[in-house]
Amino acid sequence: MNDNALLFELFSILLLLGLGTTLLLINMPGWGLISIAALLAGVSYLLRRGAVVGSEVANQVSGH
Amino acid sequence: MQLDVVAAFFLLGALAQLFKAPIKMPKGLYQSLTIFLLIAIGLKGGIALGQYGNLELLWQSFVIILFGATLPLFAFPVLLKFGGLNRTDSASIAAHYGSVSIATFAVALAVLEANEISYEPYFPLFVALLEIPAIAVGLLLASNKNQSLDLKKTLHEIFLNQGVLLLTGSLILGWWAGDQTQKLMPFFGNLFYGVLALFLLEMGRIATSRINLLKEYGSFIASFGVVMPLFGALLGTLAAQLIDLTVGGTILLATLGASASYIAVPAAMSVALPKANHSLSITSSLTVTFPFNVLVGIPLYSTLIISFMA
Repeated sequence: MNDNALLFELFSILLLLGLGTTLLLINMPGWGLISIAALLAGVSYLLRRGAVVGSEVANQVSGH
Repeated sequence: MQLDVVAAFFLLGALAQLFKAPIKMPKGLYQSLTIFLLIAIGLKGGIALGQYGNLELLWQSFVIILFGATLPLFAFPVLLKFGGLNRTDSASIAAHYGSVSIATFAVALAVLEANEISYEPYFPLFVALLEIPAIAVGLLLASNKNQSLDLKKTLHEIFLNQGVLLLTGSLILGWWAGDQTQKLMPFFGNLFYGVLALFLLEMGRIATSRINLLKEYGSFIASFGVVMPLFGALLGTLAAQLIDLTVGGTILLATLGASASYIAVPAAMSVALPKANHSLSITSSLTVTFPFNVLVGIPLYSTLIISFMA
């Protein structure tokens, strides 16, 4: 996972949030996009967190 | 616009898989349902083509082909630069997103018919046309001197894969047979929504069973699988305006632009680009984009297009 991928993910989340909010403001269905934005943010955070924890464990194992 | 009852079967299949409930269709039945949907859509389009076909269709078909060829050109650099994927994988996924999903199209048809929104009845012709150009563009994008291409086998897969063959074949048969086709309609017409519901039930199960693969491929592919359909739908809406489609036709073209292939393109790519990661492309199109379009995309595109075009 590189910095560009993170940039794209942040852009996607903000885009979905922005579109969803705009739709809600004009009385249109925006909750779907907002929910997807939240889901993507969760997936992005959890997978990155998992990768960090995984590499820490690998470092500790190789250190011993 | 609320979720259609047919599309809700997708949710049922997905929930069953999440809770590890034992719903599993025989593999043969799933393939039979796919064949049924392709023939039913093709026949219906063929009959309409015989009734409404005119010279304007040539111009519309040209724009549709151009539209199909353009989508991978937008997807490719995003996958390459932002996703950090290699050239072959980027081209393969881009081809999936330029081509179309017949199941997503079927769901959009069901939504239009349930809401009594009229559309160009010969639309299946456009579906068949959209299957092919993206594959060719994908192969061009992937081409490099080190990778040899079995042209004969590749062309066979592009033009004679199950999706293209059955859709185009039944379209021609429906066009040629005209009124004679009515005797097939108790089967291919009346049963359409029931079969689509069964198909979506299984699709929900299959899509959810692949969710774990997202861990392996990272969250970029999940974001791409959601943003690309939105962009495709926007481009589809613009193309529909260019060829003067009705509100229903615009919703269908937006849906097709948003959809990604998981039948025709994977078959062609596995032959033409054997080194590409096919699991990655199918996970993106089937596990992310298909559910997004069925559950969020189609109701959203429909509401927006109806509001802005009415």
